[in-house]
Amino acid sequence: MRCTPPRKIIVEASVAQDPSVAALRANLPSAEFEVVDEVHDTLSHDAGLLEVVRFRGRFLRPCPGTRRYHCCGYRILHFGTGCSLGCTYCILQAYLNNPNLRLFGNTDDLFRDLQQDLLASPHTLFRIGTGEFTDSLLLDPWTGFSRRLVPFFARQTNAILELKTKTDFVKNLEDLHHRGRTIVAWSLNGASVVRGEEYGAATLQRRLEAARSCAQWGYHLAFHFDPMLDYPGWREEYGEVLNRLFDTVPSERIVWISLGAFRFMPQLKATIQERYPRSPILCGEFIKGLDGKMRYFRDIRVELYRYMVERIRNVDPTLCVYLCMEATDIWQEAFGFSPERKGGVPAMLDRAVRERMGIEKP
Amino acid sequence: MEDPSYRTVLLDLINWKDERFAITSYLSSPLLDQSLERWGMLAPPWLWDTGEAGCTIVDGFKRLAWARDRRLSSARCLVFPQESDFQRLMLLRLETKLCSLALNVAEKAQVLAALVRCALSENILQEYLPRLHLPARREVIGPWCRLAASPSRLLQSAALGTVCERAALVLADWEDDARNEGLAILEQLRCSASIQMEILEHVSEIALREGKPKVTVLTDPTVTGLLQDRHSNHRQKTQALRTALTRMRFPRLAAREMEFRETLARANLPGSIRLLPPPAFEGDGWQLTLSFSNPHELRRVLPKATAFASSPLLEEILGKKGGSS
Repeated sequence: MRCTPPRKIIVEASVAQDPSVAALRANLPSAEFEVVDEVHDTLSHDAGLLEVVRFRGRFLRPCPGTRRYHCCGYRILHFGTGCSLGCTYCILQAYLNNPNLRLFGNTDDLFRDLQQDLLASPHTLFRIGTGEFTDSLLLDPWTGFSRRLVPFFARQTNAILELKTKTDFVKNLEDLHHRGRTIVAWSLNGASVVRGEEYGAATLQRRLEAARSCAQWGYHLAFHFDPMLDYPGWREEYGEVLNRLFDTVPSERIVWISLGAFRFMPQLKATIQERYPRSPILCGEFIKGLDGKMRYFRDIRVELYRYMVERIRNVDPTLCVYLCMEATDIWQEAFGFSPERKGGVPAMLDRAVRERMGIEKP
Repeated sequence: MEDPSYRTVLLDLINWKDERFAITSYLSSPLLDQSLERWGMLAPPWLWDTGEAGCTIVDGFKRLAWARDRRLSSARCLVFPQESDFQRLMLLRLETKLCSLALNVAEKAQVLAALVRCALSENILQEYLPRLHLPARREVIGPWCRLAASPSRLLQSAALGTVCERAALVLADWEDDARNEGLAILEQLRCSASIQMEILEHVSEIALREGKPKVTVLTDPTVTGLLQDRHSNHRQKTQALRTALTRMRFPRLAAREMEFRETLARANLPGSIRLLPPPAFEGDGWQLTLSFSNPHELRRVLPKATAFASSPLLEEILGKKGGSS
């Protein structure tokens, strides 16, 4: 991994006493700390900078799915924004107003709001993840946030946590009391994609070794082949990743595998072209989807998904595989059934939680 | 720097080969030519007295060239002394350009490239880019400087407007052979700016995807064949090229469209019934349109539409291959 610890941390005065800031000070003794009244948005990117700010919005929010495609009903625990792994395809490049890594320092507010939301809907099973606007574990070696988050979820009766990452930063998870309520998930891709497009992330081998460690520590696992790319040799490479995955971790520890072909907001194209002019990822057969995002032409998506579904079913026919943001016709062709037939994608995932994690819907 | 002075200078003393201050417009100037013929030089050109080497032209290249062509022996000029600073002179020269009539694309590129050599980067960002009607962003500068350094053929086409500004900036970054080929095609087709960009974008993306030089795409027999077609005018060639490049850029989508058309043809639908797939076959928004001009026609066409709705061909066209739901 080429990810380095933050060199400079700017902290808003109102969150300077937060435990996350104390952890950063303890774990980054050589970093420069600056306390300011307010951190302002900027356009200039500094890979070594971490901003710790007070977040005034809702910490728990629904995944921003769109009406025309099936969404998994995942909820996002919004604890920070930005990522320094530098994946060429990263949607955050066009999504965020601020280019730098940013953590929300009012973590007491976060836990209080989260607890209130969970108590307000006691009969709902919340599947909550932190990896939508940042990588769940990217800063964990220095913030130790997982050491507070995982035990919090261990105490809940109607929620599970999914930590999504492309790192191998799992050391903090080793001795935590998780009560089987945390899924540690990795985004996986073909070897040449990892090499060429995810150059700051952990290698496949390190991700899989980290997954094996988590499985040994009793965690449940998930994997996300997202974004899948269409390139010469994708079958061989994705097939090889699946082989290595199932050779490394027991499939019964895997709660679900998601598949999502590369899609992007049209405005991301110029950003990628400017930053990564030699990257071929924009040269696929992209069309404008029903949600306005650019997606591979449907037949290509079907081919990618069908191949993966077949390979996964050969290993573990009962493993929950789902498509991220796809329409009924694509599900139909990739799986031979529509999500509605299974009660919808959220119901499929709730069922996987019950069957694989032994957690009943409250 | 001492003040310049107005002097009558012998044209023989001008070093015509020194073009350090030249900003070529690549365009003829009929209005200036007419004015010179009628009134002579109204505004004195600027010269830099460079000592034994003679005088360097700072501003007024066209006026002095006119005087030379008319075999005049001398001209009244504003002469800057020998100890003048080159960069400062260049900035003054650029200032006059920036205050003149709208600059063409080639001039804009040359002015910005010269500013990069002479002015502070903060001034370029804050003052000069807005004056050149360019976004005040650092990353804007590089492409324009590369355009300024491009072969004169590209600059000339940009100045003439044969290639649009954005296309010229793209072509400036292409390899020599691809640039020449691309330029020749755009000059031949004389298409709109958006179509120029579409063509260049398709060529770039096909080349990048297939890992081959852009010139290979541009000299593909399909492309050269349709450009050499003597029976097509430039509009028809433009459309044919767009279609060919789109097929190359989106081969599987093109194959699916072809398959759709072929399967639909087997249905033998009358011309009054049209089946339209969703754009790029995305989603399930298919449309069947019936055209009629009176109730009798509608009654005649409806059974055919109903029969088509029940035919296995429709299932085939809709591509339901995944099994039962």
